[in-house]
Amino acid sequence: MVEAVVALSAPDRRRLELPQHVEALSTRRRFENMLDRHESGLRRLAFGMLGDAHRVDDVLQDALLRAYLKLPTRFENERAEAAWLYRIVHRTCLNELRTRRRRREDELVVDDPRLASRGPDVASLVLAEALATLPERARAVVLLVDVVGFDYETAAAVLRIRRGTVASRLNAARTSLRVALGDEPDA
Amino acid sequence: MRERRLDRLAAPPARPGFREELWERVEAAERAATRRWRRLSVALAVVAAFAVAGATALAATLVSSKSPSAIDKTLSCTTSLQGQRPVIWVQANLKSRLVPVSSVDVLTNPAANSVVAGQQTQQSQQLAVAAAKDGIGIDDVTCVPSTRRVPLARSGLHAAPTITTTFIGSLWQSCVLANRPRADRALLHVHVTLSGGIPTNAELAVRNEVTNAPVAYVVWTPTRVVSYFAATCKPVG
Repeated sequence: MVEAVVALSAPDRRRLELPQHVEALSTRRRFENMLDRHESGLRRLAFGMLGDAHRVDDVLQDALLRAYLKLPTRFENERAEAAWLYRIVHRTCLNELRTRRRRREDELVVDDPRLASRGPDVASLVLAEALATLPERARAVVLLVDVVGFDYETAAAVLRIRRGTVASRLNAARTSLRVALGDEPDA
Repeated sequence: MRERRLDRLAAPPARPGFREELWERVEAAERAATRRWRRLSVALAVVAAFAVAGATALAATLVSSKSPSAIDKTLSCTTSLQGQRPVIWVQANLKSRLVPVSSVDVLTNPAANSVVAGQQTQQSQQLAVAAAKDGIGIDDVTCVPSTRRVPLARSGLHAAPTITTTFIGSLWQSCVLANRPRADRALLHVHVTLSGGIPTNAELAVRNEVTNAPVAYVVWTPTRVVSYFAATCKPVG
């Protein structure tokens, strides 16, 4: 598909200062490309943070809309790009959890028949339930490192905390998670 | 140590139409932002007009001495199938309250707006000429330069209504390139006249690269579009 719109005339192949509607197309393409690479990880982060399969699409869409409207012209490197995108999704999930607490909607009562056929499997539900027992900060760290697969630096960049803080939160979170999954606590 | 059981955490798949919904919301947000900016810019423009008049005149002189006065290109572009036939779109808009820039666009992959090979993708122009600074663009992924001769002429084509800023204001034709399920390439020949880097006139001829059959011929200016189309072209919308 189309990657860029370039000048027909410019001998130095510089980018065009195109009218808004043409410019928007290349931004869109760049964003689509970013989504193709990260959507699966973002979805897992959102599901793990929210613990509610019904809300993942809506929350993710809010976050992606925000991301698209604030998309920087370029990123220093792929890590910076990933950290930026995951931070937005993480923050949107925290907002959603806060709103849910205010509305006391801890338990979702609506059964969406469309979701039943494409909802998460039992193992995922068990894991999501165990993750929900962790504090939000610990949950985010364990999701970013153990589920999404980020290294400590990238996870630290997403959460805007120090690398050492990631390590200590992760250690505590893994221990709590094992307990929540029914393992014997370490001696 | 890493908790390997978390590998089994699978999020629910996206609901059908997730990306389309997202793009609809993006477009709505952009439209709202444009409206806000337009209101602000009208107010600022009045104040700024006098201040920048001198600088604009100087800049225009500098730009016009560097910019080419005409661009002539022939491109060979891929097409995609729509209803089992290769189709391209030719669109033109004249400046109005709703459309801020007068432009003419060719979309040789209009079907890309729908689900292709299971993936939802966005449609895009392969060629765009707009009445704006450096307002010429080509998609260099789906189009490559061609040495084929494509006459800028209306022969073999039927005249479509001429559009002006006060009459109709836009055109949108969908042209079937061939009656078979094969994505023939399209030849686009464009000749653009510029003034100070801004397109002021464009002639565009479109042909089927395989059969060399004429498909469209459009003469565009920011205030008037004269167009001719093959019988296989139909207005859209």
